[in-house]
Amino acid sequence: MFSAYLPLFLMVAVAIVVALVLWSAATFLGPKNPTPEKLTPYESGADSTGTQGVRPSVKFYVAAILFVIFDVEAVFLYPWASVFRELGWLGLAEMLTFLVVLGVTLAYAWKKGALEWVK
Amino acid sequence: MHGTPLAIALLVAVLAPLAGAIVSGLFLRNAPKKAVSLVSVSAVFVSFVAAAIAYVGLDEGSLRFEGYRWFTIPLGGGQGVPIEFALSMDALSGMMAVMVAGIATLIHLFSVGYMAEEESYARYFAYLNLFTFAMQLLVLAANLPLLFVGWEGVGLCSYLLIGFWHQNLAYEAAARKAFIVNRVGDVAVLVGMFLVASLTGTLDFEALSQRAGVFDVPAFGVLGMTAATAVSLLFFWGATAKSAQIPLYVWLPDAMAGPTPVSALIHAATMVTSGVYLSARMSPIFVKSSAALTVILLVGAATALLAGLVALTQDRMKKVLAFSTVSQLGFMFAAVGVGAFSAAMFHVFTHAFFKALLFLGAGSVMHAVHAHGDAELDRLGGLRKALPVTSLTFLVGALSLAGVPLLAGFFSKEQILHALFGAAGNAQLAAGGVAVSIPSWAATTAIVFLALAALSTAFYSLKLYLRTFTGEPRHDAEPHEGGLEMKLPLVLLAVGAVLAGYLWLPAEGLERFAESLRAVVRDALPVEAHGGALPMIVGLGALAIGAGLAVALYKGKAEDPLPAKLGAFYRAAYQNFGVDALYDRLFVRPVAAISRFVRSFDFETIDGLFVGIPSGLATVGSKAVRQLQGSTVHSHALGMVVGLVLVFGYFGYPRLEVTIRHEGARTVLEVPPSFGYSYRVDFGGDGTYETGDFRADLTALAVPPSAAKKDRVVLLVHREPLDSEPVEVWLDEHPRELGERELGADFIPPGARGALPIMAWIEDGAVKLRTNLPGDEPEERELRPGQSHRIGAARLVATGVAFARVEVKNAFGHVTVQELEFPFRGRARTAVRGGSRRIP
Amino acid sequence: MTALFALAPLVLLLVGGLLIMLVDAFAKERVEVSALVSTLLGASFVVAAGSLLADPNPSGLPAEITRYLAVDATGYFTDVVLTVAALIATLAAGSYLREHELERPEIYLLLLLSTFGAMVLARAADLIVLFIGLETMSLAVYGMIAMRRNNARSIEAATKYFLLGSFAAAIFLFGAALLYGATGGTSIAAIRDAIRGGHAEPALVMLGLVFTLAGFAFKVAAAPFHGWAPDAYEGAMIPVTGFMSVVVKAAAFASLLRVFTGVFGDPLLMHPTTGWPTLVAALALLSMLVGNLGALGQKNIKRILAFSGIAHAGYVLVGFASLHAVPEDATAAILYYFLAYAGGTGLALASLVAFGSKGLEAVDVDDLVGLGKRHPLLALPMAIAMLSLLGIPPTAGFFAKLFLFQAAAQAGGIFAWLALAGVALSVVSGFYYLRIVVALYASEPAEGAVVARPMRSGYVLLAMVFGSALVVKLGVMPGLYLDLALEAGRGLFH
Repeated sequence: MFSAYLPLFLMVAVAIVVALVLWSAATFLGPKNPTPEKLTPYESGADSTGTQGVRPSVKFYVAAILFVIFDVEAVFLYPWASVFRELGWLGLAEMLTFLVVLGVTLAYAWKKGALEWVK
Repeated sequence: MHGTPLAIALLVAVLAPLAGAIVSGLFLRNAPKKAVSLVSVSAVFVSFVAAAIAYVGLDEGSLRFEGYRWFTIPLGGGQGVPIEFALSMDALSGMMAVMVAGIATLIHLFSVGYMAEEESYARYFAYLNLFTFAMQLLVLAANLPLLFVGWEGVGLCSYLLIGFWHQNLAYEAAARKAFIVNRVGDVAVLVGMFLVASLTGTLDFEALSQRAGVFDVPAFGVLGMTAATAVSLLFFWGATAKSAQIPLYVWLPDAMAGPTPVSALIHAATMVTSGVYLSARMSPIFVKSSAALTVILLVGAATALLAGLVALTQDRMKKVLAFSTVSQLGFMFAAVGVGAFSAAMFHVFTHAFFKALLFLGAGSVMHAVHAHGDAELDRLGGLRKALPVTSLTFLVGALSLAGVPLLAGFFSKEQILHALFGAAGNAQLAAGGVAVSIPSWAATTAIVFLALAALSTAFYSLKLYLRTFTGEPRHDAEPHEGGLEMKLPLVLLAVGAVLAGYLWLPAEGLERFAESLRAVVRDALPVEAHGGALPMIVGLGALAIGAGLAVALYKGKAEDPLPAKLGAFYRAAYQNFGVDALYDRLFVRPVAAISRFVRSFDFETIDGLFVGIPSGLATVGSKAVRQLQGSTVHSHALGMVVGLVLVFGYFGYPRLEVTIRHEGARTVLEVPPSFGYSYRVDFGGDGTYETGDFRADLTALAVPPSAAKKDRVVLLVHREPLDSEPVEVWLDEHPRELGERELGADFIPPGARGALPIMAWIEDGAVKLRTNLPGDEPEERELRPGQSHRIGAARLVATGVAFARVEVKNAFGHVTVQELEFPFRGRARTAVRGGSRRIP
Repeated sequence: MTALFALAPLVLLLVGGLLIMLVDAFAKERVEVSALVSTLLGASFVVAAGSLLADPNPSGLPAEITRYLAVDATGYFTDVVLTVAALIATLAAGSYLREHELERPEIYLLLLLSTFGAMVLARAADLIVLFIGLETMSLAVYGMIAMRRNNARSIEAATKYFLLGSFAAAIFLFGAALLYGATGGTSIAAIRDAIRGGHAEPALVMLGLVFTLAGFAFKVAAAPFHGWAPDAYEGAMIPVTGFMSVVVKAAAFASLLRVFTGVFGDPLLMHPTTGWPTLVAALALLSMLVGNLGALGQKNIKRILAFSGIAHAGYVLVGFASLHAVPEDATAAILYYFLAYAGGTGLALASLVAFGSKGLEAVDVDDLVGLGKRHPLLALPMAIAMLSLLGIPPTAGFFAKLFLFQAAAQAGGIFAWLALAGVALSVVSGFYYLRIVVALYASEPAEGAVVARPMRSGYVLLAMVFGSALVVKLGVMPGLYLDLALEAGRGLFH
């Protein structure tokens, strides 16, 4: 039965090999002419200041998690919408339940101040 | 719920003390002491009156109060043993209930004076009430589970009361020791209860005594014991804990840490005798097992002697009395051991009076000289003048304990000795149609032990009286007698200690007491079994010697001359012959060590094993992980992985359990079916697998003739004439004697026991036999496979030996192999020769 | 619609929970969330108990529901156990948080959601639904433990529990994936049928069994997967400890019961010597040993209860090991045990809450010294709880152990010896349970020692009265509850 997955393993192996080959080709074949400017990290043109280990505000995480939740919600909506007619009223009810639950939690988070940057 | 008005009295007898406990424990905390005394004493008195009314109204037979269906013990297959909440009273439980409530009332009364200065007065009486409730429940329960509730309840109360004064840690330790030792006994009672339930389908005492016939079945699987023996020994095991017998008696002397009235009530008169009560209750089963009775007899007698010797050397009043109690309980169990249950119960009855009296007397003395915890004999003496009532009643109690004629203790002790002499005289005791035999050596040993124990009883009772009340005072207190509430119980108990024995006399109007008791318990001895005048001579002789020695040694002496006279023996006995230290070493310390180990395992061992040793690993991991590592997150995770590997390892290799079964002439090889298992079998060891490749559907396989090994035969011995499972005798080329074990007793000619005249060996693929029976000519015979020969009642058959190599492969492709040899016909459980091994 | 009614205990919690969230967020006044949540849990309890008594095995439900969530007597029984335990924890929290000024409405909502997850877990008829229930329950518990943000122990406990819990969840998920790979189904019935029909790859099924068992063993804190329990229990607030030790454990056990009688209920897999019963027996023995011996040396009451919980997991596993011989009796015994354990442990922790007051939390056994003498009535529930956990008649714990060990004794062989070991080890447990009773009723505090001052609060008193009534009732009249458990157990086998 493992043979059924053989193409999958092959694909993974090929992907790894290709990536390694391209990366090492660039490293070994490309011309190297380092200057201090070239060695600084790319910061969209701004000068880099301070150390790497800056603690980002915890608010980033709240925003990120909320984003992920609603992102996933959208992901669910697409396949549902494509088979909307086949699922019928039951499907609509289920999706509405899902949306209501998420909506209530969003309202809760909002009201509790999770979306305000400074509180 | 239903029952006659009289049966309601049973409920009252049980519940009144509970009500008292609730009221004084929860609502009278801060009430005046008088209110507490009134409530708790009257609660117990009500219980006494109710029990007495029920007992007096008890005609033939018994009273029963039916409550509700409590629960049902499932027995599988929809079967179950229903357990009712029901109380019942017959002559046995009636006597106990009246005695318990009566003595409890007196002791409550005594406590009013004794504990007058106590701060936690209400708490004390609540516990005491609660105890009385549990004890009445134990006694009046109509079935084993309810009795067990009381059994646990008295243990719990005893535990709370021993630890009542807990200024010092030792008291708490004593309390816990008592409780744990008792739990060890409870395990046995529980297991016994299961056994009884599954054998008889009931746990109700009445039904049980009717169905005791179930226990006549001789064979029972547990260690070759009969069912009756197993059950009796389990209950006796429970009794050794509650009633302080060898080897579980160690808690009782320590239990004296509790207040003295508690010692009197719980650890002398009532709770500790509940083991004897249980034995009497279970007497229909006990009398069916000679083996169990013999064990009980020897343990009881040994306990009586050992504790009697220790009591000689103790130098504190309560310690002497505690070991004396253990010793007297030994007497009771010795009586149980010869099936004299009524004699044992009689001793329970009289002992309750005089031992409670002695404890209360000791309490009165301690109260008078302000001794706390216990009174050292070296600091007493000369109290007779100051404490006239205590002194006189104590003397009565001591003489009764010693067995002075015409006092209560004399009668019951004589009953026990009579029973023992009866047992030693006629080894066969008749018990409800079943013959029980106590080995006469056991009975004789027990008589010797008990005679010595009686001697020491007389000695220490007199010593106790003389060193406490006579001679010059060795204390500097100004003793004074307690109030009326303390004197009255002493006097009443003293009256009981004198008169209780007369209830046993076959006098007009009294005979009912003994007769009705005998009607309930199943004595193995006929009522009039005596050893003539001998028991009385032994009893009186022991009394005379013991008492004489005590008077000679202690009369007018200030020092105790015993330590000097007995030397090393005294020191050993004083230390309870090192039993406490031994138990500490055997049980307490290992448990403590294991618990320390397990505790360290969580935090240190896993770290040590998997992290500390390969120290290179410890440096791997970030600072954050290391911080958590101190709190062992990754060691826990590692523990989980180890667990996972172990769980996986369990399924790694297949388990192989081959059974060889015989169906008529066919021999069948069976293997357990299991998920993902497949088997193949090679018969005869020729390298070809008869099953072909591994087969998943294989569960049973007939063994073909080709499985036979050349040059191997085995002898089967059929002992019984018809269709018996034969005994296999594996032989080799060395001639070997066939003994009684192989051939069976029937075959052995009289007079030929021991040296047996049949030799057997293997020669050229056949069994060779040489018989040399007395009176016959020596005869040599050859048995080829399939041939048979008869010698006396035994039929000998030679048969071929089959060889099989069984291989099992599991889902992961791992293989376990077993090679076996077995005869073609044999017993169902064939000895499998050859182990299994694993092949990856 | 009938399905909604049949699942009313769950639906109530979900809808009610959302409403309480909205009320809490939008109300002008401060809302008594604890009261709302306890009322809701009480309502769910009443509905579940009513369904259990009236119509425990409703029929005619749409397959869209029953394929994912079992609607049977077992489900209602576990609903009852879980809501009872959650109710006791919520009431205790209502007193605890206010007294120690930690009051935050989120904790009650998390408690509610976690209970919902637990009920889903206990009813799950599909491995995916099971996992969703498991994670809903667990994530809320992580949050509850971490709620005391400025307490290092709490954070440590939450982090540990979270890390190890994720590890265990991954292990379980791996097992579920293997089962899917072996059989091509995720519902318990589909996997069972595939295994019975011989369509499953045996090696994958065995691996799936190993990994799912390990995942469950973590959640129920059975040795050797118990390492997290003492630390997590100690770091959490007392009511949360109570919630974790009962709700999480009971739900995981209930789910284990469904999976092991369903997916792995194949007679070949349940063969007493070659199948999983012997393995489970080994886990049971190890848990009883580790739990009972580990508790001996502990001083902290929460740690004692953590080890006690490990030991009780061992006792329950004894019942699992006997499932192969007496399936119905053993299931009934296990279900009954949940109820008794929920009563005993919930009561113990509620009492612990009641024994402390602001700035004086009762933590060690020594803190309880003499409490029973100063407040006899208040200390009584703790003593009852200890006696029940120890298994002294007539308390709930006695019958719970009796029925479990009875089942094992019927299974015979090594399982009877296992029962004996369990009886012997529960004797050992006397040492630590009774130490608490002694401290309460038979000890005097040392000179100058701080004495615990119990709080005065209605919530926790209610929890204690409720818990005591349950424990005593289960001991004095166990008949009805055992019958219910038997009925509930049969639900699994028809």
